[in-house]
Amino acid sequence: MSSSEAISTPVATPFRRRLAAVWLTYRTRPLAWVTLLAYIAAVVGITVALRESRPPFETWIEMAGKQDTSQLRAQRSSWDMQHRLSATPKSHMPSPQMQFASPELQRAFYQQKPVLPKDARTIVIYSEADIPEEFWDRTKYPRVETVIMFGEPLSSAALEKLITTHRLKALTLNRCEKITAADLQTLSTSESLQFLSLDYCPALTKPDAIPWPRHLRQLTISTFLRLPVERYREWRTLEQLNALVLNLAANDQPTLYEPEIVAELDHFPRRPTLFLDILEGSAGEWAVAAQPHFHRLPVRPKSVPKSRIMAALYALFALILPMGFGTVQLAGQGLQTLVALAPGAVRPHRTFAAAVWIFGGVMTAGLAGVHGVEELAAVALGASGAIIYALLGQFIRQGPGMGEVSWVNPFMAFFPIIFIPATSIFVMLLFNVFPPVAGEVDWFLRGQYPWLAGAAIVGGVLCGWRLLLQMSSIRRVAEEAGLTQVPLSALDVAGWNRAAIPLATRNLDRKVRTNPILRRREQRIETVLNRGPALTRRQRIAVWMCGLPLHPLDFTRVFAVVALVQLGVFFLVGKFGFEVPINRSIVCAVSVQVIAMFLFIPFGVLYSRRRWMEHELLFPLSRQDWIGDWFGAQLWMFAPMFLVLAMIVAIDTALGGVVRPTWQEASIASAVLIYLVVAAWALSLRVATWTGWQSMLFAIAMVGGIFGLAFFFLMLAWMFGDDTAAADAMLKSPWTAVSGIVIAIVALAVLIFSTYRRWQTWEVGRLN
Amino acid sequence: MPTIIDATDVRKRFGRHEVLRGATLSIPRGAIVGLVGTNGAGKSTLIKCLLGLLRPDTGRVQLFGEDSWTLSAESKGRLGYVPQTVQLYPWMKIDQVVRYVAAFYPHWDGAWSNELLDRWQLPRDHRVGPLSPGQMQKLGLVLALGHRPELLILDEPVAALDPLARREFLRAMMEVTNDTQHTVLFSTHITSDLERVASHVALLQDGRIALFDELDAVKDRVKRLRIRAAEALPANFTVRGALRVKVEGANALAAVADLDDRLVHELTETWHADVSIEDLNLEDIFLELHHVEQ
Repeated sequence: MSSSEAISTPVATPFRRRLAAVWLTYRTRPLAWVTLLAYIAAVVGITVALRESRPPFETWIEMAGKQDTSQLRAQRSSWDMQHRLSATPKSHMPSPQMQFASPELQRAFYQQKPVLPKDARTIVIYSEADIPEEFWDRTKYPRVETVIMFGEPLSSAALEKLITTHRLKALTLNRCEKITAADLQTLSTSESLQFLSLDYCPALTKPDAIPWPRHLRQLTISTFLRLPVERYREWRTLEQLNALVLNLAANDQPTLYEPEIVAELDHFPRRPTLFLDILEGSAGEWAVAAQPHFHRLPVRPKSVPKSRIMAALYALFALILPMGFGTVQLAGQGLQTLVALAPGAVRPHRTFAAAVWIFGGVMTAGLAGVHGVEELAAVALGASGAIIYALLGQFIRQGPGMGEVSWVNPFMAFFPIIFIPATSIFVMLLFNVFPPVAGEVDWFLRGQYPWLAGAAIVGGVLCGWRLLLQMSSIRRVAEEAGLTQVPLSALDVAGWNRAAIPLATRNLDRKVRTNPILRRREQRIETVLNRGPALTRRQRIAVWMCGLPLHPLDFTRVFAVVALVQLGVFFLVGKFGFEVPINRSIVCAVSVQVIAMFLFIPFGVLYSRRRWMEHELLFPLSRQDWIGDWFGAQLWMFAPMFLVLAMIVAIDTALGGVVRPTWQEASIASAVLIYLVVAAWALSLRVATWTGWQSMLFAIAMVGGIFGLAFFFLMLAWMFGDDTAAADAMLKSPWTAVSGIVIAIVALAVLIFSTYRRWQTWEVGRLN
Repeated sequence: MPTIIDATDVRKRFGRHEVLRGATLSIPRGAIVGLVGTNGAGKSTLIKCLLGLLRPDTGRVQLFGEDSWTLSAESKGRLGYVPQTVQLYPWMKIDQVVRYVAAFYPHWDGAWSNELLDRWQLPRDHRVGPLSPGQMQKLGLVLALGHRPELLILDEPVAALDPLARREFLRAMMEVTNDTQHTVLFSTHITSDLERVASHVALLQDGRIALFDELDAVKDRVKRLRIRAAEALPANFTVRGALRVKVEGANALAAVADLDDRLVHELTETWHADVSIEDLNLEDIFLELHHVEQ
């Protein structure tokens, strides 16, 4: 053959033909189609659910200002249902607190003064009658820090007593018609007041000078009347003010743009955030329109709708599946020797992966866009997934470390990477822990950070492109690690195990030297194995533990830290946060999710251990002993976690933290915990006997269950707020507690017995 | 000689596919049995049934006189097994794996297992994960031999080994089992290895043990006859008890399983033929038994 002939010979078949060949590899995979259908159903379902389940009146997250009145309403109705007066221990606010609901109850209270708790820190009063001055006697409740008054305003004498005898941090007066300049003078004498909210206060509209409490950090003014420029001038002198909240009449909006007022606001020394809203409803658009008038002062809506933020978060979650699937497919096929050697085979694979990613991005952007996210921000959300995957690719290329583990299952790696931050933001938003977070997220979703959205889009595209180009170097890393065959089927468990081994043990000696957890495991293995023959069950279980990639105690240690940090955050927020509603449903949701995810990890460890079972069944043990060892060893894996959980509940109860259950609630919680732990133990044993589809379905059910449960709680929190009367009544019923325990015990007994029976007849030889 | 392995009419089905269709095998103490069969013949399935890792649908399987499925700890202590693919704890060092397995055996011979590690050049402080398949196979054998089992069952143990390692492996196996007390059953495709070490051969064909006998007896029984007749042989020319017959004009080749003088005489007389008898090696016998033309 002449050289000219050689040159003219095509090096690859036409691109369309190669693309068709790659398409065939997708088309012939039933799981891919099932996944696609599930994904589309989920996106459509979320869209419909978000539209249908939205309450008649939008749920808002208060960025600043007075208490979330919708939640207070829920509390009041709960209070009324109880028809008795006492301190309520479950609270959104610093607790314990007390409330007066109706005039009848209020009168009852006056007749039974001694029932008030001494350690009340928050008082919320709904009162149409005067509150007598003696009510504010400091000796009755010396620790009160927050007072919220609905209804009849305080008399001058009562206000003076309240201010002078208590060290109030927060005061909300929802009706201030009778507040005079002298009363405001009284207020200004407080050295402790940091949060002040005054509604409908005519005294503020007069140009006369008004003194203000020196240490105010947040000032909320709601008024239908026009505020004179003098007010803004006075507020400018407040050195610690970081939030100014104005609720003005809709037709008063233009007055804020008057040059004199703008000049004052724009030159506040601390540049507080100006939160705006109208009294006739909620209009975040006003803040959007107002921002251009101010050069230095950041302007934000006083309240932001939850629905938009939730839609954005759901849209981000929806990104997981297509991004994960595209990358797994790319990883699985890209590492095949055939793809590396066949001429022009890489390009169509890249094209297809990119197509799947783009499809996911478009769906995410569409889902967000339908729910009011501005177009550019919606596209940015869709593009963000590629950035995360590019980071993942970077990890992989750098060799040993997290990336190696991630590479084995990129889908699972993507999950925590996107899930943990998204969940954190989500929880913070619903907790209202850091309202500015919700405000900034909403601001972004309204398209007010175009540069950030643009950067996310450009970054996403560039990162995605880079990741595709990195395939060759990723392949080299995998080759060097001995990983040349990534299973193409998700059901090929043995294949995944084989793929995981070379990477997991690559440079292990170096890792052992530098990683204290691995070093400890090594030392523990040495100690146990030096003891000689394992003749008793206890000894055998100790040896058995050496065959685990991670010792249960190490695992429990991590679990304990995570759970304690989580609880600590809840506790601190509840203890020191002002106007921070802690929603118990969300506490439950996050707790259940964390617990369930941790229970899932040892399950995975045990599942992967199956490949050695064939070998271990032939150790000199009878089948009964072998089963007993397995059951015992796995129970031992879960036992420390259960103890940690019990310890956390005990610590929380002792500290008076957020859970503080009644005995009935504690019983139900115990039943749930026991059930979770024992069920995980029994199920992990049960599922060890499964292969292929059974395992896959179980894994899907587990993941679905974890998230389903969490979302159930979150939806409850979202839809109904906290402490709904029905839920409270149910939790307080002893029947619920008893029946919960009985059901848990019976269900577990059935599960464990049937699992034990299954092990008696299980053919271990089918595993390998 | 007492029987160590006794399988009678073993049937095993996976879904619609029946892999074992009445396999019967009885192995006496001291025998070294090579189990041969084509890919997918059911060798691994039979071995797993013998070990109690799979439960036969019907039939009876006994090891040391006990039902395999409920094998006692004592019997398991007399048993060593090396699977087709040795899977061990990849994060452990070789020495740790050996001590891990040893912990379960009350009579583990540590000196012996260390000697085997040295002989097969398995560095004790190396991790298991990065070992080559051949090294893994050797380590699997160390773990199977460390407690000096009476019965050793190996499922294609030398498939992953290079010729040198294979020979060394077989030599070690012979050393360990070179008496009348040790019994070995190993499946293999490499018939030359089998010829080197096996005392018996078992052929698994269509889910049944088609042939089981002493290796020498098999070689004596299965022969190839080269027939040169005076005239052209008919197309339907057959030989009594033949495994395979090939006719080409006046010449024919026939492999027979049970050769006797009467058959040779009969052929000579009937077809006025010159009949010569050829010996077959085990690979030839294997191919003839599977009716494969060489």
